[in-house]
Amino acid sequence: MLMIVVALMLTLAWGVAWIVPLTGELRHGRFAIVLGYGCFAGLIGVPVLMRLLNLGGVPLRFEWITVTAIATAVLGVALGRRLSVSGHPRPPLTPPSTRDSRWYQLAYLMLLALILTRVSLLCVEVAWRPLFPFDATMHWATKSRVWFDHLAITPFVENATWLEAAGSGVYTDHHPDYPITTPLLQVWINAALGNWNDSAMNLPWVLCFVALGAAFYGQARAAGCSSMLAMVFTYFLLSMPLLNTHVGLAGYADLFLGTSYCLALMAFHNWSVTRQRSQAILALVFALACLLIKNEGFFWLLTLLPALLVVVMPAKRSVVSLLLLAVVAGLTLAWFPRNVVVAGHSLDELSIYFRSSTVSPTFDSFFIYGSWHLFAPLLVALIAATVFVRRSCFYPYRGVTTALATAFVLFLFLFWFTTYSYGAIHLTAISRISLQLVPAATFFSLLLARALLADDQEQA
Amino acid sequence: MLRTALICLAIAIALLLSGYAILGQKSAGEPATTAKTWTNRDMDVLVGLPVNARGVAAVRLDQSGRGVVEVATRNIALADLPYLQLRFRGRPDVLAMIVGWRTEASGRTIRNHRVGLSPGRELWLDMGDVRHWQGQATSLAVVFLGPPGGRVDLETISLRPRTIASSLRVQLDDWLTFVPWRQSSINAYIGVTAPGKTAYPVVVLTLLFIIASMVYLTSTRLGRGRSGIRWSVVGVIFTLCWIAVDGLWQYRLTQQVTLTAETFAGKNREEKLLATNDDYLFRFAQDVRQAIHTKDARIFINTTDDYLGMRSAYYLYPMNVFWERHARALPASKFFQRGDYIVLLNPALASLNSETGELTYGTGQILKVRAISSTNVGALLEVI
Repeated sequence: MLMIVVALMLTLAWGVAWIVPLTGELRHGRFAIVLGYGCFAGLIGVPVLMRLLNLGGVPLRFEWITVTAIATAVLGVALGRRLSVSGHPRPPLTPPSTRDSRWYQLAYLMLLALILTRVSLLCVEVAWRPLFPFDATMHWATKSRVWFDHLAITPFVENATWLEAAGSGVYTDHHPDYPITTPLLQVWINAALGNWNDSAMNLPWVLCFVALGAAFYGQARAAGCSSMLAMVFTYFLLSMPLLNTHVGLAGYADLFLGTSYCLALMAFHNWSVTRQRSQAILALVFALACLLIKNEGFFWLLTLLPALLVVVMPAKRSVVSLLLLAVVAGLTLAWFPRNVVVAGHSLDELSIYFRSSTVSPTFDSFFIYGSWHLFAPLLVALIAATVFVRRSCFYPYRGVTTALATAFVLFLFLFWFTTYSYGAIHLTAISRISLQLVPAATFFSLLLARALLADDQEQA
Repeated sequence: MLRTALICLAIAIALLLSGYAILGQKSAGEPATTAKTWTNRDMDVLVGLPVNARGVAAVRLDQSGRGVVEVATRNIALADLPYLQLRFRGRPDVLAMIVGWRTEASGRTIRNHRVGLSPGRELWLDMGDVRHWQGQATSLAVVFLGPPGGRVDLETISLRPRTIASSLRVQLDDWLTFVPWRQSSINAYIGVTAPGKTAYPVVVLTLLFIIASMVYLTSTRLGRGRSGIRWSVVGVIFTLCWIAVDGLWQYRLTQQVTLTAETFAGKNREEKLLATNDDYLFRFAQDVRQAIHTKDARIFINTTDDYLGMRSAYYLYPMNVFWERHARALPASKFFQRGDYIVLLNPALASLNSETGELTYGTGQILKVRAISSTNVGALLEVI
């Protein structure tokens, strides 16, 4: 038990050591941002260290990983002291002064208590339940099991390659080409324990959940939200059933990808408003981290490109650029070699045409079923209120709006126009892939709610 | 702000219930039939061991994990009594149930409907759309399926007509019925146990939010004009609706964690896996590991059941395992070497001739093998 705590704390401390120097210029929400981004940085960083150790032929033992982590954490602190990230051309957003009535404080504490209860329950579930979900035992933890035993990242190859190689020096499973961050996290925890424990090895999923909540709250405060509004939306996010299920039935990488994309997009938005260098660095680091988690991370990373265009360019030029980008994307789709694999997929395999039978299940997965509680109606209501009631546009949020709109188009393309429509019709994939985008979309809805409530304060 | 929100929500709930009552009365048609209830005195234990207990029909499930309780029925038109209510003393040790019934028209043929739920202290089932739930019932039985020796204390069996109150009760019972996590849980959370038969909590709470918001916006606009509208009140209404729908999820999660604790707490890895539904598979994999002494042996798994193949492969790692999803046959014989092992899990599309030691599979593929072990789960073979 102690060793698990040591491993988890070291993961957190490593990340915090690298994040703290980046956040010196942040005024609001800094503690939560450091905690959330630091925690997640550790969850990404420790597997990177393990890969580097493996490249150097060093066995993946707990002692070696620990020494390397401590050394690089100290390096991070030292570098941070030398290269301070500061200076912000625009004034930071100031959250409104909060009412400190007793009811207000009680409501705040109640929401916090609900969140902490949720975290505790999920922690207990993960600590006791042996590895359960289908894909987790099919192609994620298979690697962890072999690498923990070998103390090295032994290659995994396709079935055909394994047969040709007579299995010599290679292993195989159903998806040998998947990114290896989450399996390495499981190896890390088992290395700390000294034996294979497919319950405790999933505790990083709880850490990821906590990181997401802390980072979300911190960035909400940095975006100028009151502590109450930030807490309400953090509660909304952390109470979503499918997000909770991916913690409780740990072993899939979707939660990690959703967290990484959300962290990147939140930092991107706050950079677009304040031009704080620290937010730019956070956005870049966690956008790139998406590539280390799942193949879909490549496509979510791409959504930041049009977002960047609309943020840095004047309005008219950015519209023209977006149109050009859409044309380029369309031409690429038309002329790209059909058998070339990009991020795990080829055009041949996708079999592109519109499948009308997927529209209704898509609607059901957001508006009828309970995976996201009332999030979809909330988002629609906020968009409608912004457009029709406030008669405002999304210009202040053009970056995050563009990124999410692009992501939504890609999402619909995947499920309405490709063979992955099966995952929508039979509900086997559409909600899981939504998990990769919903946290970021929750931040977007928070921004819209903040603007709407700002009208109240002006009236007051 | 909170008071205003609560008032609007209360009005919305009243409007929603009134609308439901009006719609319910229009569709109900004829006045409802009286409910029929059977107590323990009316129940016969047909299968399982009856246990002496006051006020309940208590039964221990037999060695095959079955228990059956029957009641005699007279002059009961099933179509008029679509709701089946079971009340237990304590939580029954049951994983699933089958409702069985005979009618005058069916004669000796037993109609049945499987209910894949583990009930709480009370269970409401809407049998209205179930096939053959019509005609004059002559007998009604409930089959309980669970662990051998599991106990069921049944207080009452009731058949109830479709009324507003009973409809709401069925609705609420469905929302509160606990279903443990399954493989499909990682893909989506539906929110109800009977999709298509009961209203979804998200839909109901969304409707509630819309009505409550309309009440607030309309009353404020009429009273103070547009400038009097405070969006924070709408926000509070929404938050309360969210907390309500989250309350249902929190309730399920608490039950799930309780079940997980009861099943796994204090156990080591092996004991945990033996406490799951994979216990037989894990045991088989352990036996395979012990039978294979070669360190870098290659192990080929074949079965037509993807779940069994995938799971057994996982239990056999870190051995060098080959399993191909959706593949119905082993790879071509040219890929095999002496000293390779083959695990055939039932059902598998391969046949072994024990006299000649030949394993035949696919399109005319033949391997010379030695059988090492064989159980009803599968067989372990060595290529020679």
